[in-house]
Amino acid sequence: MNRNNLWRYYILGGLLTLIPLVIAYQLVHIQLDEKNKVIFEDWHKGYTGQEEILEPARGLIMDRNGDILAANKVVYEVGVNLAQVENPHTIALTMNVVLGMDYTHALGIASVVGSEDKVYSPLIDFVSEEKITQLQVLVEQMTAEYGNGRGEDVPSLSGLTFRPHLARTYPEKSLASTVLGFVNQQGLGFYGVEEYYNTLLAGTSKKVLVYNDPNQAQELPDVPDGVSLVLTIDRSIQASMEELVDWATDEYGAESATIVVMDPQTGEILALATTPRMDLNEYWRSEEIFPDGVPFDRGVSQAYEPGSVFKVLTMLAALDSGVVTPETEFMDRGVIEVGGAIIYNWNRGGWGPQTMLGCMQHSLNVCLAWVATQLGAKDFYSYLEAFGIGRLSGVELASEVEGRLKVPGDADWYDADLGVNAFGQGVSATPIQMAAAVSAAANNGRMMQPHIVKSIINKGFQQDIEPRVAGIVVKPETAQALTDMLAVSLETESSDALVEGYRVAGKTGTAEIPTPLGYTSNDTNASFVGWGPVDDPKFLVYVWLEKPSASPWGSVVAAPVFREAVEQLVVLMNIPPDNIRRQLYGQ
Amino acid sequence: MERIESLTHAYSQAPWRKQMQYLVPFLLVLVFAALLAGLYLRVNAEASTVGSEIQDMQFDIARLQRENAGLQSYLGELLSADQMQRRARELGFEPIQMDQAIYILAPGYVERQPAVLAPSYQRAVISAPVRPAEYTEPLFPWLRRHIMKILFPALESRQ
Repeated sequence: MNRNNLWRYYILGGLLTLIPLVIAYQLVHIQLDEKNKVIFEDWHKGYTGQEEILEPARGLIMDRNGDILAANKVVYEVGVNLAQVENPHTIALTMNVVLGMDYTHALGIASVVGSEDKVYSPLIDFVSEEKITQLQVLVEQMTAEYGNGRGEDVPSLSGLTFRPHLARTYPEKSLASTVLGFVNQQGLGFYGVEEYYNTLLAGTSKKVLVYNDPNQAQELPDVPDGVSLVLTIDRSIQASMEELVDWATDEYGAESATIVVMDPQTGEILALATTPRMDLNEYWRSEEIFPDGVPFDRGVSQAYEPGSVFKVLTMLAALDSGVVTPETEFMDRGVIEVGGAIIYNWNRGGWGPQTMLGCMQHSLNVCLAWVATQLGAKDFYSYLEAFGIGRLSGVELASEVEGRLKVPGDADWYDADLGVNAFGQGVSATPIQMAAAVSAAANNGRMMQPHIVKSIINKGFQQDIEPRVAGIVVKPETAQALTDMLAVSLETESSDALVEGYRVAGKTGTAEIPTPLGYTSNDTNASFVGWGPVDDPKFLVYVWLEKPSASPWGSVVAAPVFREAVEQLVVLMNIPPDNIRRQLYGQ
Repeated sequence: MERIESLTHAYSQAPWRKQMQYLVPFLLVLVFAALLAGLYLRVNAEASTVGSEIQDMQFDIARLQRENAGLQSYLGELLSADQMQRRARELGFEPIQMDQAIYILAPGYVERQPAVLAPSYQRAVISAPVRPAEYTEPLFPWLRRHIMKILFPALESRQ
């Protein structure tokens, strides 16, 4: 070794020692300096992968036959990869022309200069597949014509990206809209089943780190779809009843119409039709269609004084407790005083000696007020509470209201309430509450819990919701006696509710609408509740017309709607006329 | 003294031989290390390929799930009450009225039942996952079993 060249080796050795020392120092420095630590951790994260949220598909909603009422469709978020944008003007113009987006707004977003912190900006979300196809064609055409040219003068859609995701859609549009409710862009359910079961339907999202390094690629965690629901609603019956409420609203000049169809033996809601309704795919119009004071679903969200249909409950209570029988006579003088309140009949006249059948047939307020006094306040209100008046029915629909039942002991309850409550005044209930309560008469005294979800499908398994008895409110013989009374009274009166070939039982109701000054309005609520066939009830129909202008009387406007409903129901439910049914069963 | 030196020279190994003594093991180590590195690279490359394939498949699954959802909603639209009524009317059907219905007794007829879209919890037989014996069996019994299987296949099949 030439000693003259030794210094070169010393320098090389020194450098080789110094460089690792500098690296080691820098490593320690980075570890100890908090500022550097954060910067390097961010870099590391960026290089490692991206955090993504895996959203489960929202569960489907189907009718009892499996027809889809609410599903999911593919929509796109349109955005820009800022580093790839060549001409923001072209992007803004395209957004304006194809998607109707504000040009200036789009230009502002597309003109942002990309950086490590900002690589992507969304332009617009929930764009349909058809629009995306249009955009893709434009991108292809522009690339073919102008290639990858740069500069403000060269049109370019470079940087435009489309991210697919799922969004709620309602193939039936407005059908059963008040039952379903809707989901907004944030994935939150509003009203109906969508709100009531929002958590279950939405499922649980998971946040995952998707590695850039394929060596670290891991199987993404399983994100189960949201729970799917099978409703008790029958789409055909629902469609038919919705046509009917629309017709009734027009025909009788009513402010609104509501029909509840229930299976009294199970409590299943087969249809809940009301006005107004909306195309759920345009949920942003909800405030326009349902302005302040208009409930989304009158069936569960609007309590009203039901009037004479309430007499069904009063008579059931009285018959069951034994204070009267169908043959009990009452001398109707056309007026009665209960707790200081003077009560008259609907025609302000006296009807002379009447049996309980006659009282129900002629819908005599005076007689029913007397019946309530015979029963006594304690028993009367005990029965009403057992019928579920004044509390939520428990049906699986959001925004249900309780109605109002004043009971002895309440500050605003007076003795006079006993008399007026007997014929459905001074007490309020929703159509669903009334239908559930009356189902006791149609189901041998067993009041069924009204429900609208038939089964739940979770992780590939279907679980049926069993019918639940809400209470055995009256004896079977009481229910049978009242059913007979109401069937006979319809037949004797040749009511418009009668359906040829089918024996039905029912009761009309006409209620004045209270104002802050009392019952001073000429407007009424016209109702009818009926069920049939009486020997084996398959349906219970509750009809409510709000403020009908054609006639104030339930017997004139609500009873024909009931008949129409039953005529359609027997066909849709395959219920043969009574005589044929007996022949068929006899064979 | 000169004689001793020349004797030492005569018995000492040639320099290239000495170098070879170090070089050969070094080369052997080098070849082994290269083999290991090659193997590692191959396994790593395969793992990377499979990893990216898994990612691609997961993207495919997500895309197919979206397509499936889209088709489901499209089916819903095609079978919606409005559409079905419109098509029925176009085909000349009209809604049946109550008095037009004819009822006959059809033996064996079962009325329309509510939708069953998935097995029920009660009917589902949930079996516990079974681990193969290979995962629980000690090595030597496993070896003996396999050797016996190869040597005496007839005996194995009789068992």
